[in-house]
Amino acid sequence: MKMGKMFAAFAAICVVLGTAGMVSAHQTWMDIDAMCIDLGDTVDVRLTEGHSFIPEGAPPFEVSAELVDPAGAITPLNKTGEDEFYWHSGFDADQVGLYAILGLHVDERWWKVYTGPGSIPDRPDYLYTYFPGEVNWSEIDKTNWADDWHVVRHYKPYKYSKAFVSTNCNFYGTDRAFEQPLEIIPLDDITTVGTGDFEFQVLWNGMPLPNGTIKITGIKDRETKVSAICDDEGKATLPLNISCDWLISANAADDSAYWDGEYDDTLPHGENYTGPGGFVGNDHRATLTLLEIREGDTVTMRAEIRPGIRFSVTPAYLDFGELDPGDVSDPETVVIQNMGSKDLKATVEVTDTNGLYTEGLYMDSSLWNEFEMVVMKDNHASPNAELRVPGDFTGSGEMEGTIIFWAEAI
Amino acid sequence: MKLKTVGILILSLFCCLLIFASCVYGIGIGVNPAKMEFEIGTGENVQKNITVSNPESAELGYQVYIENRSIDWIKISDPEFSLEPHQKKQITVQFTPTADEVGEFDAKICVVTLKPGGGFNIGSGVKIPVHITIEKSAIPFYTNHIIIVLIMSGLLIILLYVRRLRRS
Repeated sequence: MKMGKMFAAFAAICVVLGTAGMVSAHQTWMDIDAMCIDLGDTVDVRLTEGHSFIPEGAPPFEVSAELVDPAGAITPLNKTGEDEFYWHSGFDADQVGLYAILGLHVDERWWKVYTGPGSIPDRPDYLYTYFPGEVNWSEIDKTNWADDWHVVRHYKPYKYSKAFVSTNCNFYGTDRAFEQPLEIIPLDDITTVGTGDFEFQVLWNGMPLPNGTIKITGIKDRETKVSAICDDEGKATLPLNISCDWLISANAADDSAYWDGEYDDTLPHGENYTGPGGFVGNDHRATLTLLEIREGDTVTMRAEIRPGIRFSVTPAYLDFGELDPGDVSDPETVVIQNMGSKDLKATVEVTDTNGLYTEGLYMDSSLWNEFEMVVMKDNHASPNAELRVPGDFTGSGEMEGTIIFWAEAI
Repeated sequence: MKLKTVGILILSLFCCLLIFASCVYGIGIGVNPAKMEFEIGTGENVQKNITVSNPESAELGYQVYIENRSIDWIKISDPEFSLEPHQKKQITVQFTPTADEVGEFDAKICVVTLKPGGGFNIGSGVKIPVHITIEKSAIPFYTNHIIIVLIMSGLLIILLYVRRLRRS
């Protein structure tokens, strides 16, 4: 019953969208509000599926997304909700630079069947019918099907999506691969999209597929689409001459251009079919969402200048444990992380009221007041602190003291 | 019953570990500029800004002071304050050297944060070297009383002369 409803819904979509050749499969793409955002903004990440850049529903079955932050760290984006059109997630953009958002939608298996002209009464020139999931071929009404009907493809769709946001409106680095299995890479500056020819490269596991395998399409809306076939370097140029949001999609150029699977001559077919059989395997398609850099996005310029000196010392507390006079503690490692724009000279200052630390604290085997260390910018140092309790120390109980790590630019 | 007790113990231990883990953080500080160098005349007043930032994910208290605490002609606008995680604050340092301070002068402005508590605590601080060239200010001519009187007298004479010319 559920299968029947799904088929009816899909058939309805096919009727609406069908053309003389074949209906295009659902696309899944990443939807965001803007590519230029402010530092600290919360980015709403949405995945949707539909046709011609028009959302029709939240992608069903397996959906996931991950974020590559400006530092290159990859974190999964958890689903935060779902509504009629979108799978929702999001993140706080608290770093300066470029974020890449990567989506994956693995749909259920589909059958693409050549059923011939007139097989769908309302669309007499429509040649193909799609079926999701398991199909009981003996129970399907084939009254209007051609006697050479046959399965063209039986495939599991893998749909990769990608979008970029930047907290400083600098999109340097978008022309690198983010290791999606099938990935569209914009080779030109994405802030210029809509101003003319734009070159893309499509890679499969980091390598181009043979010339003619991949068709890449720029989609503005149902009426405005431009396409090109990728060459043996995976490259193709699209004339994106209209300043607007563009969805770029890439998929197999035609039914003979599938690469992840093989032909099977045992698939169901009509009695007069004599062809080689159908393709059985995986269907991989990719999308890249490129939003117009809107005026509101560009009037504000910002830059985060690192302070001359910025550093952090961890841990915030040193515990040398229980010691007797004359004992030497285990070394405690202190990490000095230089996060500023200048190299640092680090020294320490120790104060106490009992002489324990001022007389017994050693840094890297030198008494604390002889310690000096250079910490280069974007680097860290890990000196060891050690407490040598003087043999004649008479105090007892918890001993208080303070060590301050001083930094000075060099 | 025994299992329940063990479960509660494990849960308590886990909570303690979580609480402990949430308390562990570094002691950090950000300061700009890293050094200062300027010229000033005696009797003049120069103000310089220092931005102090907290790079940590916990609130920290900060102190700003001159290393040589006997210097009384350098004033800090906010010698003590707290900063929320990743917050920054601009403080003003006011320099008003007296006539006795003529020459090259070096000082260090110290900005320090420390997590107070029992035992042996760690703090982090920045020393900003300040090099000041203090020059004896020349008295501007317009502040000399005799010159002012002469100028005023000259203007008065010109005014009277112009009036007389108009009447004739």
